[in-house]
Amino acid sequence: MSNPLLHVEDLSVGFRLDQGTVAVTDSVSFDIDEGEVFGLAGESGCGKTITALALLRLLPKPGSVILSGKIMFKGIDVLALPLPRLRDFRGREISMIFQEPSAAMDPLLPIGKQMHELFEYHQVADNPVQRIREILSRVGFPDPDRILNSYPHELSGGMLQRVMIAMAIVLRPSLIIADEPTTALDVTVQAQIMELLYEMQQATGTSVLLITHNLCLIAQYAKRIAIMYAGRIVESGECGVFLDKPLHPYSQGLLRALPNLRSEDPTLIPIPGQVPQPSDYASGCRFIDRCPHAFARCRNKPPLFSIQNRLVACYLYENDHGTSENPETVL
Amino acid sequence: MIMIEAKGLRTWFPISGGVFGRTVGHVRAVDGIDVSVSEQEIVSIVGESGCGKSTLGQSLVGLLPITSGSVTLQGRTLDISNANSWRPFRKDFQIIFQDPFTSLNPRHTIFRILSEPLRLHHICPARELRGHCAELLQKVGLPPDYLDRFPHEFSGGQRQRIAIARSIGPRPRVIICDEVVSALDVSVQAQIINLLLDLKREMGLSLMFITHDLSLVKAISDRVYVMYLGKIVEEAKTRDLFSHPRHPYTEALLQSIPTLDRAVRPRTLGGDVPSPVNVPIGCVFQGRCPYVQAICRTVHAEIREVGASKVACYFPLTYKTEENKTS
Repeated sequence: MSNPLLHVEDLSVGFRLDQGTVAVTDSVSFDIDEGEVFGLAGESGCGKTITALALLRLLPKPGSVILSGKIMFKGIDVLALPLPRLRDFRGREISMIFQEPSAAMDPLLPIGKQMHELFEYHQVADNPVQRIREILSRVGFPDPDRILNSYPHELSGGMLQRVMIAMAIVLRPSLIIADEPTTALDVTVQAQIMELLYEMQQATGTSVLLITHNLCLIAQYAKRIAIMYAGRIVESGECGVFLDKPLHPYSQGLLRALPNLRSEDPTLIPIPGQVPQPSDYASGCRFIDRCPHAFARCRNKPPLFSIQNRLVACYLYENDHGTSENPETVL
Repeated sequence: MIMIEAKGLRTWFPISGGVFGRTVGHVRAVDGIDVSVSEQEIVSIVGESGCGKSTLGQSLVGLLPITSGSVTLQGRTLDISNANSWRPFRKDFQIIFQDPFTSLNPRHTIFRILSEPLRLHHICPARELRGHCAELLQKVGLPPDYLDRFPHEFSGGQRQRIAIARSIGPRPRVIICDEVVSALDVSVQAQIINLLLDLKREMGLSLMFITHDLSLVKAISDRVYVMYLGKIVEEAKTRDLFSHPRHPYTEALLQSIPTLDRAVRPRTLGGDVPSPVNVPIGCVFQGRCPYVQAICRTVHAEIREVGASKVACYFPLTYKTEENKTS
């Protein structure tokens, strides 16, 4: 396989608190290939947004620090980039779509002005206004001029998210990070926005890192998936195989707890207990308190075992490591 | 017995404007709705944000002033102009709110939160309050020694359990659950839903779930009302609604939900939900409906029976297999 577009290795981010630094993500590693939609899923507080912000070095300061790890993008070490180059890099190489479009825009500036800033800053395109008009009509606004002169409060959440997508793709970045792009929107609008994002991704061939708590969205749009729990990636692999047969007990529990519109059996099987807080993270497997299969070995931190082209952080698969034996026999 | 029955229910909020603060218009949050909940039934009200579903729930239990219409609780019709007429029913009709972070008073202990409704409704003598509250906590799966803690010490799921404990304290007959799990994580959502279903069976409750989550509706409810812009557009048994949606909006809603099935792509519906201030003349869904015709732009279709469902549409969707059966 050729070099991935983005290579994240052992990324750990910590928060500085009165009691000392608490690691909120622990050794997160993943690759994103060119032209790929990669899904990062997990519940709130599991560290998915923090990981995304770390990729652009946008972590809130002061308070959060990158404790260790490496982020390589097209062979560039992002963590070593000097600030002026980093500013060029953001937006042009990697752009981001945020969860709450109304909070991500300046309420005092018309949309056109905010989009124009992008061009001014990055000094591209001879005729920015023309480019902005084009891109706005591409994301589905029949009269771009009206949008250009509107203020964010005059547009609905769905329209603002279209503008965000337009801003994210206008400089043709190689990677778009979409952090919960539709969580603030209604279902019918969510479908519009996801289809638009997907269409744009297909047309431009850019890669997308889709971060969401909604496994269904990832199932629909992503090629590969990584599941995060309490700051760690617990399982990653091809999306289709994952959905057919999740390996990690947490992934299995998550899929069982999800009400499924297509299934005839309405019973929901919850995962007992609750997501731990970063200050209470267990030293071994962090799912240990909620896991139906926990055994003595789980008090150690599980490494990622490679099984059937997937990586799973669970000792249940220790013996199958590297073999293709059916994991069902272990369960 | 029918626990809740509302007919032609309207809850409009005045908009004041101009120098003198005159009423210049109305937000038609709930605009002429008929709903009913029978004994031990689970009814869902489903719709997108801003469709008026929460307003409906709060109007039914008298938390919001109703503009017009009639409300009958346990067979007794209330005087809607008098907020006090709900008083005798407060004990039997409880409501649980969406956000467990704002629905529990942060300065009260759990004991105080749980005991207040018990005292107000004279459920038990003062010296038994503590034991009773401890019992309530156990019922919702929390240890009884949590009584002296404060809400901030708990996670979202635990808080929602406390809110549930508070609502079952006065031994109600009906609980209105307003988006009770949407603030919670998936793995915890199922716990809370199962808890409510267990309590429902144990106490013989009727539940009204107000939610935007259709997958949840399918998993739990007996009957469903679909709301759009202050109106009910479809009412059906859960099974019929999901197998044979009749209203174009219901169909669109079902199709736009992503599922885990990678073979089925969501279909999209254009446009946005219009503002309830400028409700269009004619059908509320006309601006986004793929099947819109001239008549839809003139008069709103009254809700009527089609097959096993009730639909407010001139051109409800029909299904071949079913026509053969009836003919």
